[in-house]
Amino acid sequence: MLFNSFEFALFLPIVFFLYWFVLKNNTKNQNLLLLISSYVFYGWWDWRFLSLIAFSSVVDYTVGLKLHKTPQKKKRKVLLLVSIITNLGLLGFFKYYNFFVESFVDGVSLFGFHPSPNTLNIILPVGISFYTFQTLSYTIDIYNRNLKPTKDALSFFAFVSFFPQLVAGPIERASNLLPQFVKKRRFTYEHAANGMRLILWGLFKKMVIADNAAILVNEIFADYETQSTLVLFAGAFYFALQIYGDFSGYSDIARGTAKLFGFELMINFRVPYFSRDIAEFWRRWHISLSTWFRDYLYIPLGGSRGTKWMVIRNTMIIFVVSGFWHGANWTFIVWGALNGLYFLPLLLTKRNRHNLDTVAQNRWLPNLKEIMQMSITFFVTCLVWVFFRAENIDHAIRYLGKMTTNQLMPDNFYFFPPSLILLIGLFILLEWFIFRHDNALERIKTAPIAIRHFAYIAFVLIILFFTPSVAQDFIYFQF
Amino acid sequence: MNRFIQKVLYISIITLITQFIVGNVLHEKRNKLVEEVYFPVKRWKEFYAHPKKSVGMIFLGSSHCYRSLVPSVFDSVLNVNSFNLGSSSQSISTSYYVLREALKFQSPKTVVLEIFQGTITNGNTYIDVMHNFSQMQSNVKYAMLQTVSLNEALSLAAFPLKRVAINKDQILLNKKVLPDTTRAQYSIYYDKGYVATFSKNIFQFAEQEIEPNAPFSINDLQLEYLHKINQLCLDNQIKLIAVTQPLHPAYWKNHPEKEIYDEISNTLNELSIPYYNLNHTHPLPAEFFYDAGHILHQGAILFSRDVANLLEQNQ
Repeated sequence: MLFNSFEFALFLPIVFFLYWFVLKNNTKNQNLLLLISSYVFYGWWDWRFLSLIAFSSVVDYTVGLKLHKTPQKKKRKVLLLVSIITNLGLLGFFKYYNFFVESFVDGVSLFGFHPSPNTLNIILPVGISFYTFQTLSYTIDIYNRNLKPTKDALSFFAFVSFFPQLVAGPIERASNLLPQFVKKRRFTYEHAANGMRLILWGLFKKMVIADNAAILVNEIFADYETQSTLVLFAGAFYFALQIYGDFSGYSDIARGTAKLFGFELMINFRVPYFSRDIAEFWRRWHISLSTWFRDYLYIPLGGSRGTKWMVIRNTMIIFVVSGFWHGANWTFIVWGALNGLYFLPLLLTKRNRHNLDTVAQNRWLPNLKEIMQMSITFFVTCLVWVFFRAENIDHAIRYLGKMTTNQLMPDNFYFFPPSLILLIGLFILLEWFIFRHDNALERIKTAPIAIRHFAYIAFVLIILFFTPSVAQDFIYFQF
Repeated sequence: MNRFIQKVLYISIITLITQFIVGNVLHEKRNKLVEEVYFPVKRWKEFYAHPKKSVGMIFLGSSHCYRSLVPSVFDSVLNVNSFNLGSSSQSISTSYYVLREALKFQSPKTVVLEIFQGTITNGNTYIDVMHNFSQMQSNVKYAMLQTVSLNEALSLAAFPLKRVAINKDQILLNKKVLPDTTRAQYSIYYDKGYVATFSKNIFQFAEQEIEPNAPFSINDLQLEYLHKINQLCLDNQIKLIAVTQPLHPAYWKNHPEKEIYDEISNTLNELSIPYYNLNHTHPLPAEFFYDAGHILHQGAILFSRDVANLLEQNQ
């Protein structure tokens, strides 16, 4: 079920009504409702894959309890391995099997061997990369004795499958989300109203900005050979907006929906395109994944301790794995590696934690230096996004090559529709003026009632009017 | 809790009312623009004004029909009274309901169904509802519900603003603009449903209008309605003929012509519907095209003459 679908518009109020009106005094029953709703939400896409979520939940729930009771180091390691192999095994099979087979065949063919590849017609279960990482963090935290396992199976199953963030994150830690299932939730007007504002802002980002940019991106990337330099740069720029609007929009809707049920999910994006360097960008982009890799991969590998080479190795591993997490394609691996290369100089010169505050502190506008820093960071990020969007490495390299060899100016301004440019301009302005707040609409919550209501209505009308007729799937569903 | 629900309901109701008012106002405005370019009101008005049972030949199909088949040419060659009921993006399923409506007033001996791969491979869209059914005197709701999904129909009914924003992506992105007011400057409603197109597309976007390489197959709904049209014609002793208008060579850059028209031809053969694909037999030089898919008035005269001659030869 998509957040921007008619089905979800019916599903959400029904679950909300049952949750707060019928089951309001019973946390267990509320959890049961959330579990059933989450399975319905996921099964709407393909009910067969519910078994994977259930299986993953059973394994990690059992392993978690056993880990807690087992003092022996060796046995604990085996238990942890069971969880890791189960979760990464599912992920590996459904997401990476064909990639590994094809890459192996391509690799050995370089040496003159030509085995016939035995690829399978595997459907990628939606959101598998998200929920497997979420359950995995639960077991690892218990193994590291940072978390006590829950004996409440219902809460745990509901935590793994919680529908607002099930298919595209944020990837929640058990230490944050699981306790919220155990304690009694209270409805507060402020919390729910914030949730609605987040949902509206997320829908605007997804349906107006991302989906319209997607139409241009698809055309430019499909026909890049003949496009001018300006159009090719615009293609990369539009894609940067598309993926940001799409993914951060989803996160906003997820967080807003969770708020309606009394839950608080972590912030996943903090206006990353206003970053002054790539280190700041990665502190602001897909925060739940970056921190996951930091805590469960980078630090166990040694992090930034050790020799220079160890630091370089650890950094490159985390970026490459992060790229590979996004998809079974060399383009994602290169995308991750390029980000790593871009990040390394900052790390090696110890400048990676220079920009911990927000840009333009206590000012309305950035200064010239900040503008330059943000522009360069954004420009390089856009170039690297080309690998993320391209069909394959060859496509990406050719696209980037054409950026410098094709004619500079286009024959017409077909790819620069004034109305879209205006909307994008408005979006960037709103993002700038609200970026110390949670979302654009939160900023106006203290405004006079007439202005507030006018803004809400205007946003709904803009969404209704400007949403493209062909709905686009959320990009991150495929990850 | 009550305060929250009251607020959500209150804002939802105000939003619904606002979008209803704004939507309907804009819809009216849009209808005027639609009329300037596609002339649905003029076409149906003229059709309904014809004396009952006076029309002997009806053309059905997309813009490749109402901008390409000139009734006056058929009238002079075949000595009939013909009428063009083609309309923008008219799919086969839409043609079926248009024909049913037409048969309430007229008893044609021949129906010429224009076949274009773009409308036979897709399901129905809002555009059908907007441009085709909107001016019919009867059957409108029934036809809509039969051919447009319930989701779409409900969405259209509840949100007039969505109706205005049909092809919103195109409106927003300022391309293939519907209604295309630039095209309006070059379109003239002649008579009997035919719209003449003059001058070349000033933007020279012919090639950009081509959708890339979608795998071709006839849409199930359209196939079902092709059978229905055939049956309707058989039941009413009408001769059903299918034709395809020549397309600009640029159009075929991304479309496997043979594959597409082989499948269409086989399907029509199975139903014993005579099919004239003038792409093969009577291609037109580039100067007769407005864009990759549409022909200019001079091209339409030639195309119509060719079709009329073929019909005469095979009578």
